[in-house]
Amino acid sequence: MGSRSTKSARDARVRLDAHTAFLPTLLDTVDALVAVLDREGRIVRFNPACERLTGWREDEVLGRVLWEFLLPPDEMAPVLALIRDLSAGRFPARLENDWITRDGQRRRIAFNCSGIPDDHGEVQFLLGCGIDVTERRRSEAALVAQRDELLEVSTPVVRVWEGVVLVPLIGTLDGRRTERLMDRLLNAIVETRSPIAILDITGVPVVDTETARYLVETIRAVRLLGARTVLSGVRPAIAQTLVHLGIDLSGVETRASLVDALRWAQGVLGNAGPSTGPGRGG
Amino acid sequence: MESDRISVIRVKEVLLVTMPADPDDPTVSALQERVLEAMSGGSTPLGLVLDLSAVDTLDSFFARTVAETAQMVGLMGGRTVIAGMRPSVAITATQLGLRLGNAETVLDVDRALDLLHEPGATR
Repeated sequence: MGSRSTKSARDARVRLDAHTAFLPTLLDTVDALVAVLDREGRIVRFNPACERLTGWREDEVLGRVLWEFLLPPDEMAPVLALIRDLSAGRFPARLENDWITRDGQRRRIAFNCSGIPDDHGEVQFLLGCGIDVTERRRSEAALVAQRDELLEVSTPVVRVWEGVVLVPLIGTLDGRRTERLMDRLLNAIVETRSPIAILDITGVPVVDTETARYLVETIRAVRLLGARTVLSGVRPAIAQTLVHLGIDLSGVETRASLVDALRWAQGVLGNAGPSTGPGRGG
Repeated sequence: MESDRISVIRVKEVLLVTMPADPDDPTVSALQERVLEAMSGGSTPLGLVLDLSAVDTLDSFFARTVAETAQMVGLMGGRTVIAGMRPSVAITATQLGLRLGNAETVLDVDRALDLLHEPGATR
């Protein structure tokens, strides 16, 4: 790039900025919502993107007060507070709020707002530049709901026998899942009055120190309730890992397979009668 | 009197204590005294059943006192059985790392009595 072409480009920019059609063309072309208000909140500019979203034409809304028809009543307060801030010269500011379209739909808009001052620094106009984030927020909410549902189905607690509840664990354990698991398991034990819980880790691919800690924590909580846990599905590879990691499972009943665990449970219930099954208090 | 909130009942050779929902420190201290008092009177009971089914908060002082009391009862030849701890309490206790010493735990008072009366129970 020679200095000549840089200079001519700079000249072109100056000419463009001075061009009266530049700003209207920009406002007409851009996909972002651009609305300008005067200090009383009356609309003075409402670009085509705003028209497309709301269904109102600019000539219909010019001079109307924004919050009298575009804002839902429950979101009025933060918007009015923002407008006060902008008028007082506190900007730029961000706000996410709903707009009500002409046909009564709510759209979620993320706004970047600013004030346009006159020569004396007094704010004359308020500019809001927004993006419609309705779909994004909706899919975010759906994702959260889905994750919760997944959490729900991934920790079933099944009553398999009189006095025996079974938790088939599948996938990896993390803090959130353990919390949920503990909650459901402990409540199931109390509700079904089951003195024995089988934690089956056949479906857990790897046991690391973290997972083991969560398991031990769960087993300890079960003990406090007065029930006993047997850990089943301890495959050779998992047994190896547990020993190599130096995880202390002494005092925890462990079995290689679910069948063995069930047999053990039957033995305990059969010997002691269904009414017992003491554990040591943590 | 705080200790009035605790009553130690002797039923069929067993001391039964039901803890109030939110035991404060004086109540917990009173628990230990009353239990030891009851252990020494007349023929020694088989043990102590501590019913926690009403309790919804458990702190470290409570846990320590229970562990100590269980140890003392053990020295006097009895067993301590904790019955009916709520899931939420068990979760908190686990998260706080509280230990109940050599106290045994069961689901409810029924099972605690069975456990203490079962043939071959240490005596």
